[in-house]
Amino acid sequence: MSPDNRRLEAALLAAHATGDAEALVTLYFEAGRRAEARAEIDAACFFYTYAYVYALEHGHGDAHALHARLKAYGREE
Amino acid sequence: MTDTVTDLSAVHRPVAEARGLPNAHYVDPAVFAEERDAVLYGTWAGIGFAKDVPEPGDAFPVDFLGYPLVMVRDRAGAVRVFQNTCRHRGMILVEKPGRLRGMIRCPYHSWCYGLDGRLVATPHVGGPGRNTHAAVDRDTLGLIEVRAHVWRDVVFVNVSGDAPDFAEYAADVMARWAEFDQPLYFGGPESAFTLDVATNWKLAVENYCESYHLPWVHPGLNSYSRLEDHYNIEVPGAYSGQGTLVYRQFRGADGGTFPDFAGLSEKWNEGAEYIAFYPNVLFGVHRDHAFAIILEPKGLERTEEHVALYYPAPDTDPELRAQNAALWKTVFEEDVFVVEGMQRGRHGAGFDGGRFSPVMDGPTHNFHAWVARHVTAARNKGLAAE
Repeated sequence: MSPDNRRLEAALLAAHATGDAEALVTLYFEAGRRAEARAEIDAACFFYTYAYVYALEHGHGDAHALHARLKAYGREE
Repeated sequence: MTDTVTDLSAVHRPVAEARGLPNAHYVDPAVFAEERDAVLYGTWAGIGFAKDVPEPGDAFPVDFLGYPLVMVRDRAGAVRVFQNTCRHRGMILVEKPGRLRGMIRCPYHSWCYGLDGRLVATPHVGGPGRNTHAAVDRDTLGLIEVRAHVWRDVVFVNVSGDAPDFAEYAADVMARWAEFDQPLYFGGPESAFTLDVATNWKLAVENYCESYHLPWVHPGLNSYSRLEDHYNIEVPGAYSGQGTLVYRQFRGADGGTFPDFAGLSEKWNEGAEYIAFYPNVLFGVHRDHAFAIILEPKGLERTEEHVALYYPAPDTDPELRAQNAALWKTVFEEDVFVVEGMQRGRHGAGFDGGRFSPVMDGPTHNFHAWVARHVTAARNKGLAAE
């Protein structure tokens, strides 16, 4: 794992520990983008799903964009 | 149907010949369960206050005798009640009161529901990162909504789903108090309190709806509100209570008063009424304030009495409100030993339900007859289904 990805993983664990919803959405979204850039679509949609769920729960503005990405890959209605 | 079938024939008789509900209706778990289904789930019971979900996104879970419910204020401002159960694995969705910024997320597998109950997200339901599956039709898997209606800030539900519409169920009392059909402003945290009482919930209804006990249990009222200044309220099959002809407008220690509800007729200058709206909500109206009490049965012999006071305007004097709440708390606390004593008394097997005063106990008999009618109807329905 690259140092960047290790930092991302640590930040995600910290966000889970503190229940920081804004950070969870942002960090999972970023994890998804990185996987998508590597053409790892299953992994990307896995992370986008987390970001989407936390965005829905907390009324985060990224919910629509995340839904659109998941739907584009056939992972959402 | 339960193994314990009580004889209700004496309850159905006219008040002068009737006896009260048999002891089993207060001390027998099987009859309690029968009554829960027939009376509390089968009609329109109060489960909470709309004031407890004041803003969109507010959610308030209620354990209604083991039936998990959640009151939600939706984005359009309406109060809705759902089963507090995820459609996936049956997990409880909302554990404590709070404000939801977005949707309801199940804490188990994160299925997400809108505040209107729609199932919106089913993460990984088709495998990791695949959030749909042909076998999971979201349109058929929304939260189970329970019939609900808000009246006088009380959230009523009909769990069984087959009671008449609330407007029909409450038509008589709504007409009686049509003059009070105007905005109510909750007095704030100091205007609400809860009494935890070791009694079956029905005894709290029975004590509330009659004035016979006033001179003995509330001697402080005797100086201005004598027994003869009260009248019985009895509407068979609907509600009962008492009224007074000598209500004195509340005055605080410094002589301050609350504003009156707008446009009341002269009757209410010195009139006030206290109605037990069956099964479990007690209302009071006065020219200058009102209250609602939800009797929350916590078990066969335990009841929480949730009291909330309301005013005709949003900006009344907080000190005055605190004094008024303290006054009512004193009155309601004076009743505790009575309802707890009647509960303990019903463990005496020789008690036969009791003989009513034909003059003074009509409101209580009216309630007993109502309970008996609903229990009997449920029994007959059960027999017909066998």
